[in-house]
Amino acid sequence: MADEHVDVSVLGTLRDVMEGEYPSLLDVFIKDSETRVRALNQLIRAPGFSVESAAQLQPLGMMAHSFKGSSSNMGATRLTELCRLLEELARNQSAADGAVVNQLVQAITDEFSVVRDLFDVELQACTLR
Amino acid sequence: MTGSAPPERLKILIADDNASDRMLLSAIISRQGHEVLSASDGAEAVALFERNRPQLVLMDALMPVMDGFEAARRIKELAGEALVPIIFLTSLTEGEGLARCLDAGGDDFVAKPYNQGVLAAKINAMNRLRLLQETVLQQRDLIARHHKYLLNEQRVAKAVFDQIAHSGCLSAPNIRYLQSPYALFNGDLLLAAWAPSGNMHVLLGDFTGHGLPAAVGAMPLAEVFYGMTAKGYGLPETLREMNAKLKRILPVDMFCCAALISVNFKQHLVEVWNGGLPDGYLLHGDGRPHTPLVSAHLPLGVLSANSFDDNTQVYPFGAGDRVFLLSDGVVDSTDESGEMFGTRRLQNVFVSNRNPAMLIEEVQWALARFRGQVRDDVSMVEVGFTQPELLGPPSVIYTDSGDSSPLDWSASFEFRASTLKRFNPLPYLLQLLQEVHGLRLQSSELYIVLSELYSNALEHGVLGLDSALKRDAEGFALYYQQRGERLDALERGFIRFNFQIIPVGQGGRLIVEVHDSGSGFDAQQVLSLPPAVDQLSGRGLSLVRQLSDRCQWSLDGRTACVEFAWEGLAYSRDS
Repeated sequence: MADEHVDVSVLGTLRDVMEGEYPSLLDVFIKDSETRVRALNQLIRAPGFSVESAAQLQPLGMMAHSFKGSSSNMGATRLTELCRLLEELARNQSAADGAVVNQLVQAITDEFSVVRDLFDVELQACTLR
Repeated sequence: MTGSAPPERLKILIADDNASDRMLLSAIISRQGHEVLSASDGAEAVALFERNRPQLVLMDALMPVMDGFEAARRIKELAGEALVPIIFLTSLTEGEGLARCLDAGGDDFVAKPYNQGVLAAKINAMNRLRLLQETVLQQRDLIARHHKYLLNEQRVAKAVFDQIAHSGCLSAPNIRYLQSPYALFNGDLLLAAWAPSGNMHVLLGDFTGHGLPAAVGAMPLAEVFYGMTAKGYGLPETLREMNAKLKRILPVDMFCCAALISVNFKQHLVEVWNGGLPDGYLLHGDGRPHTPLVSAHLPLGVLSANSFDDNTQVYPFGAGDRVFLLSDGVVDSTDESGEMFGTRRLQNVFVSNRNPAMLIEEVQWALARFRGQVRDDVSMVEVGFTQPELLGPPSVIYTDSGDSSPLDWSASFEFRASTLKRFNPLPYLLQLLQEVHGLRLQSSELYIVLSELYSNALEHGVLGLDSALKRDAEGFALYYQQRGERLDALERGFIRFNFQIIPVGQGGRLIVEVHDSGSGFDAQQVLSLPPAVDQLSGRGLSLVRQLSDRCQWSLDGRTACVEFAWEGLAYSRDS
């Protein structure tokens, strides 16, 4: 498992804490995150979305904040960091740039698919154990 | 996980819309030994709280349906006085968000990612706070219960005491007084009662201390006061008994400052004893300056029976004269700067008083002006002179039927010097005579005549005092001073009582002879003088003549003989 994507020691702790529930935690995280990624993409691609609008930036920031929290708990280090950048960008309206936001959401989408693949492997390993 | 295991299993509510975070946190908290309830939004969290009353809440700030801030506010409201710590689950970094959490009633924060050690430590710390608050509330409730209990006890004690105190005659038209309804618990006590002689006894007492301890002594004191007054005992005997009783039952640091007076309306006298109360005042109706009634004794309950001093002061007391007694709450009242009201201000009120009926109110106003509000331990009583017939007859209650009334007997008593010095035989003699039912209707007259004959025999006979001394106020004081001195020095002498009860038809006659060891007097000459109504002396013999059916003196003036007669009693058997 690539260390820059997922902190192995965090997964070790989670395995410890969750015991038999460990696979379903991974599963719940994957399903939950798929929804979040879809929602992020829908939000910025919605017609009339503009970084100039505080009303539209706020839900973006909240989504990023929430995703950051669960990613951090799952040891998804890079995903957490990308969410943190998006959250800060959304909060700081003057610095928000439509192109950067699009790039960040794309990076989060890509990073999540890497993490999902890694967790799928982990899930298969669980079944084998 | 650290070694600090939680001291007890708590019921903990977790609210987070994030499914994986909620799952993880539930697992961590369960592993730490707590019971977990979980909610996925604020509204669900509030509902779960209402239903299950968890002791601690871990809550995400940002949730759909109802956010964590609103849910926290509602939960705090539902929790009421109990402390239900709320720990916000957030990685909020900006100050505004943190402030909102605190405003909503949040007690602490935990950031994601979760750290098991930090979580356990925070839960323990919050639980300690919760327990502390619980203890505080329990102790507050305990104190409140004790307080309520104490108030109830005081209410019961006051009700019992009012039963005793109200059997007195504080409502007599010549008495005016001011007392807080809860004076009993400030240690203040005011009692008044009729003696069989028609004298009025009034006591103002002030026990040391406050609350129930100050009130416990009041009960026995009132019993002695009423009991002995009703039996016809005078001030000295009553004082001795009150002192002995309080000395016996009260702890050493408790005693009762008291003033006791006896008003003799028929002979226009007032007898005063003051032990430890502030100066009382005899206010003269004729405009003379007031006479202070200074405390000359230690309070009741301090001295043993041998060293107790029951000497009283006797003053002339007539129409317009008043005795004013007060507790130390009056003169010791202090203003904001700590200065006391003092006796000078009080005396100024006496001097400026124009309407005697308003005196107590005027003292109250002066106190209020002085310090803005009147203390609740201020007690004052004013006893005036009234013509005896306006006061109504003292009511004496008998409990026997009269069937066993003895109707044919005689008895003799001789009281000798050492007995005369310290014993008043009149109550005993009167009680004996009251066994004769027919005499009960005139028991007041009988008492007055007997006590008059007794004091004549003692003062003029045995002690050889000259009644002519009592012409004026100075002589009056001298007379009572000499009486005290001669009685103390008395070594020989006697007074004999001889009683004969003779049945006559349905009624009967009582013949009393009082004989003393003195040198006698010219009875014919004294009795031929016109009754000296306006003079201080000479009242005694004319009273005896008025009240008895027949009276005469032996030629040597050493033996008095009086007669009381009664008709066949027309009382009904059930009266």
